[in-house]
Amino acid sequence: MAELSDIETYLSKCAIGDRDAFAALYSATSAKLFGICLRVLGNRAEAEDALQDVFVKIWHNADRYQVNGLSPMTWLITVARNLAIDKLRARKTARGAGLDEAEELPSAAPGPEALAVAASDRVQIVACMAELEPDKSDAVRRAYLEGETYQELAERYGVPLNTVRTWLRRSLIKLKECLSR
Amino acid sequence: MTDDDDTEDEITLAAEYALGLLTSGEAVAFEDVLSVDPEMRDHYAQWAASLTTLTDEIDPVEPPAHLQAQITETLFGPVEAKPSLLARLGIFGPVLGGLVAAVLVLVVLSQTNFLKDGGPTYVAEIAAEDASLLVTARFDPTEGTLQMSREAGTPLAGRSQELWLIVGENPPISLGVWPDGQAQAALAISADVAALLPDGVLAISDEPLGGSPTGQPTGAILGAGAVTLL
Repeated sequence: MAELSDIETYLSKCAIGDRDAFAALYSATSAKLFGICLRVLGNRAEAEDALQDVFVKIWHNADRYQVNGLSPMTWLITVARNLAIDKLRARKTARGAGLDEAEELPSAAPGPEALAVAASDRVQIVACMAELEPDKSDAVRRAYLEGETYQELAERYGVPLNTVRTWLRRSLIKLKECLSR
Repeated sequence: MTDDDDTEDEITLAAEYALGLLTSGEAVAFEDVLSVDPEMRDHYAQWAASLTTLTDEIDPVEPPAHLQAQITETLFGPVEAKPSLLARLGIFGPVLGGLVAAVLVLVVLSQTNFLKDGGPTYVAEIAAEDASLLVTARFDPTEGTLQMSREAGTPLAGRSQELWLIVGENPPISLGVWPDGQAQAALAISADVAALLPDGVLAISDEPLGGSPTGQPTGAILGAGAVTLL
């Protein structure tokens, strides 16, 4: 695995159109990002599609990454996760969700400007998740790794949508308090 | 509402956005705030950084080999199957020209009776398309030297010219830096490198004084020519 600083260098070279740097970035990060796509989507064909979109997006947005001084791995992982979740949701919608439901579907991945992350802010979340009640941390995990919506979480836990929203928000505040300690 | 409540609302909103829990309308509104509110940006950034660590538990999986080529093609268009270094340098034209010119060199060399016994003799004419550089090269197997004569194209002030042997897809091999201020040069060639000559292309590049600092061409390729058997 390449060092973090290598990845930063590859990205800044991608931003000025360096295809060799793009190839190096691919070698260094594709296995990690493919693993994420595969975990989210659960099948290879879709994960391959997603990974292709991920690297196309990385190439096109590498310049904005540089301007914003983002944490490289957080940005790359977020791009991969968001695109994989988009695909997963598109699949769910295609499988017969009505228009009404589709309107309530969360938006696509945040734009690249929104993905500003400082490396120093990278904090282990796992320990703090353990401080939440199991079903609360489970819900956060499902939202992040499986793209589950409030609606889906409400159905899963058998509670009204507003209830799940309220308790998830409370859990997020707790989580934040722990992460800030 | 107190300031604390405000902050808590911002924190949860940023988290919901990072998790993808907002509806599209809410997300667009949030992005508007994000673009103007550094504090909100901070909240979001921290969430994104924290949440990505949830992927630490996911094992890397090597994607199938064909995918990289597919991505490259999507981004950069179809490429001829693995363009050679020569093609990438755009010196295929001069190479072909070199083949034709080599016939000329052969005649010249025969007439001046350069030939000695001791193994195959190879020649090349290293030429720029616009004739700004013209160098004839002849490998002398008995001496193990490459005899070079520059007809045109002296180095730029404060620069050197370096001679390279390129074989297929392999990185260019430096054969040496042209001695300063000389029109003729004899470069010693090891037996290993001499064995590669028949399949190779000779090229001359513009380099910093004293030659490439990296061991690979760093400046413009001034000319190239295929090596042919005399």
